[in-house]
Formats: sequence, C-alpha cells, structure tokens
Amino acid sequence: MTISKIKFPLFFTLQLTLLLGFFGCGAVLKKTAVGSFIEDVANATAKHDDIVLVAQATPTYLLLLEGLLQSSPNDPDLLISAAQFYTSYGALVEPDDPVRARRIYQRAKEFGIKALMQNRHIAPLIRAPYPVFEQITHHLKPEDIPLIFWAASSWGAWIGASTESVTALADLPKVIHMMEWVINEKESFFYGSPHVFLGMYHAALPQGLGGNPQKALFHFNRALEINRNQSLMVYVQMARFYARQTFDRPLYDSLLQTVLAKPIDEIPELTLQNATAQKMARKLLAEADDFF
Amino acid sequence: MIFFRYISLILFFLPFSSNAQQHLIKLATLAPEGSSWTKALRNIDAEVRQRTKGEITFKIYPGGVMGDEDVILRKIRVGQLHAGGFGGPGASKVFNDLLALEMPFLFHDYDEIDYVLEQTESFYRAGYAANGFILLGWADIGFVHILSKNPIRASSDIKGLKVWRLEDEPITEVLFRKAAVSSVPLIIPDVLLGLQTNLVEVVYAPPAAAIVMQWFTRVKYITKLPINYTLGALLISKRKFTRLSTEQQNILREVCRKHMLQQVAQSRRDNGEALNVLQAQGLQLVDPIEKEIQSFKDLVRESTPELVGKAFSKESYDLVKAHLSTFRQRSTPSNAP
Repeated sequence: MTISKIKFPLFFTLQLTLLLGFFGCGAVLKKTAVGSFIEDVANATAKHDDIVLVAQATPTYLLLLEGLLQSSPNDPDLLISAAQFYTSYGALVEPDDPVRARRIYQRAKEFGIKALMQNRHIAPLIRAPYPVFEQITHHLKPEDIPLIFWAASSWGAWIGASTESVTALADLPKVIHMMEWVINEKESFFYGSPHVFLGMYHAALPQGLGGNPQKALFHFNRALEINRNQSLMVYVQMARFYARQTFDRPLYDSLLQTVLAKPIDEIPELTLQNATAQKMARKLLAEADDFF
Repeated sequence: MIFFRYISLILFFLPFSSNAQQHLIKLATLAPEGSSWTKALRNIDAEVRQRTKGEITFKIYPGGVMGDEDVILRKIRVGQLHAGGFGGPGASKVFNDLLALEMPFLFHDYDEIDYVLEQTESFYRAGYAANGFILLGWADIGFVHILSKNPIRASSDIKGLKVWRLEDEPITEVLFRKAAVSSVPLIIPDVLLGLQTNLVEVVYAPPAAAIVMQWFTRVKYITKLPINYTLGALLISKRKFTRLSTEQQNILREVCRKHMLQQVAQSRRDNGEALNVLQAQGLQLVDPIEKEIQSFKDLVRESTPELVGKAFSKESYDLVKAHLSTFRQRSTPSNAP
C-alpha cells in the first residue's frame, strides 16, 4: 500500500508516428467497378516517386472516398480504405504540420474503428476494458488481416500524435494487441510493416519504464529480412527509434546513409514510401548533432 | 611592429570574447520526447537562449538515452553532463530529505503541497547546494493510488496478497515490514510482467503512470484514497552553475521556475484526467471507510519513528509538518461556516 517513487509518471509519450503504411496494399476491396478503381489509384499512388504531387492530389481522392461512403456508410471495405488513406495522408502532412496531422489521424482512426464495428462478433468488444477486448482475437479470421492492420495503424498513428493525452495512451495496449495478432497471422503483411510498428513501440519508451531495445531490434531486423532490405522506411524508423534510444550515433549515421545510397524503386509498390524515407533520412541526418 | 599589432588585436577582441562566453548545458532525463517534462525543458532552452542572446544553450538528452538516473548522476559528477530532470529516486539520492515530502497521508490536496513547497524552498535549495546541486524547480509526479486485482477497502484486505515494492525504496520497506505485508521487490520495468503472471497482485502508482506503463490492463480496482504525493526535481551541478554570471544565473532560475510551474499544472491535469480514464477503462474505484483510513494512518504513525533520522532527517520532517499545520490552522477558519 504505500508510497511510490514512480519515475516520471505521466507522459511517457510514445511518438509512435507511423510512417509505415502508405497507400498501396489495398487488395481489400471487392471487385466492383468502384472497388477496382480505388485499388488502382492506391497502387498507382504507391508506385509514384513524387511526394509533393501525391500529397497535393490525395485530398481530392479522400473526398471521393467520403462521397462513396455517403451512399454506403457501413461498407467495411470502403471504411478500411478510408482509414488507410487518411493514415497515409496524415503521414505525408505530419513533418510540416503535426497539429493538422493529428486531426487527419483522428478521422482515420474513426473510420478504422467503424470498420471494426461492422464485424458483429468483435463490435461489442472494441470499447470494452482491455481484458475483455483481448478476446477479439478469438473471433478473427485470416481474411481480417487488412482490417486489423489498418484499424491498428490508424489508431496507433492517432495515439502517436497525441502522446500528451492520457486518454489516447490508454488505448495503446489494444493497438499493440491487434498488431501482435497480425504478426502471428501474417508477419510478412505489406513487407513486414507489423514488425516495424512493434519495433518502434518497443524502442519508444526508456528501458526503465518498460521499453525493450532488444525486442525492438528483433522486430526491425525481421522486417528487413522479410522485405530483403528493400523497405527504406525500416532503416529510417530503426535510426529514429532504436539508434537514438540506444544512443548509437555510428549506427544512426550508417542506417540513414544506407537509405540515401539505395535505389527507391526496386519494389515498385514501395517507391513512394522509399522516396519519403529518403526525405526523412536527409532531415534526420541534418538534425543528428542536435540529438547526439 | 607586428607584435604590437598582434597585441592590439588581442586587446581589441578580448572584451568581445569575454562577453560572448558560451555556456552549453547538457541535460539528461528519463522523460521521453513529447512529455510534459521535455516540453518544459525545450521551453526553458528556447527562453533562456533568447533572453541571454544565445550565451546559454541547452542540449537535452531525453528518454533515458544517457542511462538511468544513477548513470545520469554519475555523468554529472564527472562533468560529462551538467543537469538532470529527475524523478523521485534520482532527486532523493542527491538529497534524501526529499522523502520527508513523500510520507504517506501527509498531504490532503495540492493547496497544502504548494504552500509547504513554497515555505520549504530555501531549506531544500540549501540541502541540494550542500550536495553539489542547484535546485531549479520541482516537478509534479502526482498522488499515488493503490491498484489491485482484489478490492482494498481496509488494511486487512492487503494481508495475504502479494504486494509490489519498488526495490531500494526505504519508506515502503519499513511500512510493509511493520504491517507484516508480504512484499515482492521488483524494478519498474518488471512490474507489468509481474502483474501478468500474478507474481504481484497489488501495485501503486499515480493514475497517469498506471496508464503509461500499462499496469491498468492487469488490475481491476483503484483505491480512491491517495497514499502519498511524489515529486521530481530539475537540478544543475553547482560547478556548472557558478560559471555563469550573476545575471545569467538569475535568468536561468527565473525561466526554469516559470516553466516547471507549468509542468506541475499540466501533470495535475493529466492525473485528474487519468483517474477518469481508468474508470472508463473498467477499473472500479474503491473507497475505504473512515475507520479503515484511520487504521492505515495508524500504521504510518507507528512506522514514522523508524524512518525519521534514517530515510530523511528529523529537521526536514519537523519543518514540513510545522508548515503544514500552520497552513491547516490558517485555512480552517476560512472554511468554517
């Protein structure tokens, strides 16, 4: 019963900014005319190498998606697409305008949760206390992987942009639980993205507060194995989270230099993500002296 | 001639170079980037930089990247770092009289705390100074509550349960021994796993910390009665501080004070919100009955003689108690109908 000397309680921010997903990896939409159009746009976007063009064009596409949702507000596929596109767009906006990015992530999260709510088995568990929520995995099937991944990504992105809010942080265990399920079902989903997510999570907290750099390293390395070192975002997040947390400047520099030295379009669907990774790498290298 | 020109150049530049002496303050903390702690530190850096026209700048190492608090203290002592944003463990290792402020059932509310901290400021400043540090401001960590798998309404409810105890923490060590509670010493990162595996069934933390460290996912109850208040401190080594001019020292003190007060306000808002969030997350708020609260307090009273003069000085405890009773005497009449 007593006393404590909890080191710095609150805050413990996570900074789980989730620059992973990025368009592409649609493949959840039914083969209707509209569904295949959305999927085509997603794939074309992922293969694009002009970040500015994509960032400027995306709002139009988001409004189009919202228009489709007007007539089919409970269509799970459209809802997942909206969660995915808003999350990805938020990630493009975040470096320049984190406040706006948070609002975009919030919208993404709302679509993601609404998509989850369309599954009648798990709907009653989503807002339940954590021990009850944990049971959602008993009701999930392999075809739910994109749903769970995008719902968790959008929710996680919102938490990462809201680390000053204990209300937001209280949802984090649910998001981690969903992402761990995705890893168990299909760790290679979108080039190992679930591993990158957990790598960032385990490296975001100091060890003294429950962070685990060894686990983080495992997840980053596993992601690189899965995408055969082709996803440059893995290196970037490994530098940002793992190399900083372990205060390893040589590793930090070498990871980011690797990003700049590699081609961005070896896997066409990763082109946009890799272009963004290079942009981030240049910024992180320029900031290195402020941190180390 | 060249020699004279050289000398005159030196003389010419001397006043400038002494005026423009740069001070880089390297500061480490466990608090991660984005937290209210690091926000306060970044604001301090920006304002000090601006008011000293760039003569003083900070380099902030957040998130424990410089190591835990023991390591940060060691690095400050050897001059590798100059300052730290510490939690209770680190701040009380420098000056253990901090613990007198963290005794159970000492404070009822924030008004009492604010009054006592203000009145004892010179005492604590002197204490830190005697240990080689300048106290630049307190940080709020918050009131600690019991979190448990079974409801705890009475001291007897704890008997037979496995209670977590923070390793190397002197006050709980004595209290649990007196209460004949079987405690399990664990470091903070092991507590969540301890709860998952039922190695511990009762833990304690400020509400916001219980969320951040995810302990709330493995307990069902939180006791409404706060146990004790916890705080941290922003400290800079005296060696670094005395190298600053008096004017710079004053700016630093003033700016730190201002932003740490903002941290305190933010932390209190966070803990208030967190208590509601915990209930929304399904935890049940348990309210011990008055008689049982007294039995908790009796236990603390019995343990106090063993702590005073060991865990912290008698002088600090008496001082804190005296100011607290002054405050209570003063505020009672105004509260009377």
